[in-house]
Amino acid sequence: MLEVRALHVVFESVHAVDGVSLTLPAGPFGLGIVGESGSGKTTIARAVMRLIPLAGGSVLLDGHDVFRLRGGALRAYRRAVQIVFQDADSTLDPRMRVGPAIREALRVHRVVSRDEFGHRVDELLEEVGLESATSSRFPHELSGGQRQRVAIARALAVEPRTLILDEPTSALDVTVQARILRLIAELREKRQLAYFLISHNLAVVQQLCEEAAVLYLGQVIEQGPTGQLLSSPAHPYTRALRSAVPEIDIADRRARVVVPGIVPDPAHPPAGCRFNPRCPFVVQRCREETPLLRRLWAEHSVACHRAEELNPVLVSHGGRGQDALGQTPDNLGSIF
Amino acid sequence: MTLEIRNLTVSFDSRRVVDIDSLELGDAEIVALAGESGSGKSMTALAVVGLASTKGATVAGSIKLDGTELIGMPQSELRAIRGGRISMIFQSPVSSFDPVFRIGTIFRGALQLHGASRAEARDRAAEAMRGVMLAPELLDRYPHQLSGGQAQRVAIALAIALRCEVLLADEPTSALDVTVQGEILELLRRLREQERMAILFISHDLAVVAELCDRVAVMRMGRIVEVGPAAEVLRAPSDPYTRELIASVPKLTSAAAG
Ligand SMILES: Nc1ncnc2c1ncn2[C@@H]1O[C@H](COP(=O)(O)OP(=O)(O)OP(=O)(O)O)[C@@H](O)[C@H]1O
Ligand SMILES: Nc1ncnc2c1ncn2[C@@H]1O[C@H](COP(=O)(O)OP(=O)(O)OP(=O)(O)O)[C@@H](O)[C@H]1O
Ligand code: SF4
Ligand SMILES: [Mg+2]
Ligand SMILES: [Mg+2]
Repeated sequence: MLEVRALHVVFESVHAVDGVSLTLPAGPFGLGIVGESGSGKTTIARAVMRLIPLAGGSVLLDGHDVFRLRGGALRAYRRAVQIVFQDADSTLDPRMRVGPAIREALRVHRVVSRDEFGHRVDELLEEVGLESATSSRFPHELSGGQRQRVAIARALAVEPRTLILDEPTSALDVTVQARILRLIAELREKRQLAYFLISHNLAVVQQLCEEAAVLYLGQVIEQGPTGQLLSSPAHPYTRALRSAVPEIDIADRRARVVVPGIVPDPAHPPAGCRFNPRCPFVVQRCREETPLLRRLWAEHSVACHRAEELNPVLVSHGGRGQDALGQTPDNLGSIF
Repeated sequence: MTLEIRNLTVSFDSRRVVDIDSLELGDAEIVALAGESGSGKSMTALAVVGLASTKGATVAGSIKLDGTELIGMPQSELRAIRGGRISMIFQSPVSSFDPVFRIGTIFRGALQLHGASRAEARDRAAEAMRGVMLAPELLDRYPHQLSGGQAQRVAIALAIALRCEVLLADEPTSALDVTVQGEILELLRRLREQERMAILFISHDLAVVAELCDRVAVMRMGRIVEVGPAAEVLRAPSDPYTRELIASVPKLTSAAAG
């Protein structure tokens, strides 16, 4: 179990993560993290990997404070928890060919014996849909999507128990994306894999995650079972996000709920509810009092003063039922 | 403005990674380049701005901007066209910025190179940042101090501030959440209508292609396998690979579709 408790990360004056708590149970389990660009998703991932100092809070693996690990315990952590970064370019060593880079990971963590390295590298490349000839190329000799897949193969090489996937398929065409998603789904059962999946693609999150959290300006503003969160989003921001998913089929397109205005700089967050300057439902209380993340019903939590009032059907039906689905988000969206 | 590509090939040693018979981009037109990862989309765009050869590729064929041949043009002349008449948003925005300069300095350098005064450059940079929903204060940051989506929007803002006629946008919205993405698509549509900007829009996101683009060309293994009006190609694809692509688009299941 990987826990992030009351996490705070500050860059100079920028409070990028402001009191986030998330729990990733033992696998197989997927926790999706979605949210506005700049809301702190990658920062959380980097904190879990111990790549940046914390201004507050803690990260725990099976109850052990990750920032206190030393020596063998730290090495074990580095193998148990792997990350695929959003920007594969800046994480692959430009001077190292693909094959040796993956071998290096196999060697450091003693995953398989030396004489199996070559075979295992080919296998890993094949799993992510790359030819074995890719081994001899340098990162700059690959396309964007090929590089992203090399980063995935390298993370999988050490057979981690926990993965942090930061936009792992954003540079892939949809057929290759489908292949990677299948691979993750397979591994999660085969190796009891647990993962954080950061993605802007709500359909991908729905496919792979039983739970999802929505981030806004460094805070979790809604969290719950993925299906329910997407069918009955309770927070006005989540609703806008849900309504903005583009569809190929014109018939499937819905009216996009526009969220006006620029996201405030986390260096100067607004008082009260952080969404208030852009929220169509704002009332005086929202400007004065910060809404805490609280249980709306069962597993579904939201940080909005007006959640019940704005989602009457959701609350009375316990969030399930046809009515709730019929009422949100489109019908309520038209109030915007 | 017209951009005409004819018999374009891009090769690394003996490996041919692009082999396009013909592709055109007209005034105020938005054409999508979609297709397989590694099929040559980025190389095609890089060839247009004369950067494929700087990566060690051999480029042959013809690329004409209003009748002027770009292939074989000296780099000094190409530099004036790049960022002047044609600008490009690279696929990996973070690594395309020089890490030692602040964002504002990068803007000023590019804008002054293309004739803006210092004050003009500052105003245009701030305006372009607001256009992509970013606070102008971010101009004081270094590239690595931005989130993935912020860096991507800075790249868009920079390309737009240059007021080019042709924009080559390589996966410009892949790191954006859907609400911000919606705003950016709106902005691109506005630029097309008001400034008659032409856009080559490289994207894996077929839903975005459907919303934004007039025509779509689907690439596979260096070749264009299908091209036509976006709505038509996406509704009734004739090529088997295009069909496979469309079938693979992950969709929110009906329970979550609202
Ligand atoms: N080194 C840094 N110095 C100052 N601010 C930073 C730094 N790194 C990140 N930030 C800021 O912290 C906030 C959170 O950034 P983060 O990268 O976590 O966002 P994100 O949710 O991953 O966004 P995206 O979806 O765009 O990738 C942003 O406002 C960003 O500008
Ligand atoms: N410097 C290089 N040397 C050798 N081959 C290269 C080099 N750069 C790119 N390639 C190859 O050229 C082909 C086309 O690459 P390109 O970057 O155009 O693909 P793409 O369609 O943009 O893919 P993606 O969607 O993954 O970004 C790929 O197979 C890639 O491996
Ligand atoms: S607390 Fe108020 S401002 Fe914040 S989301 Fe709810 S209604 Fe909107
Ligand atoms: Mg990020
Ligand atoms: Mg590319």
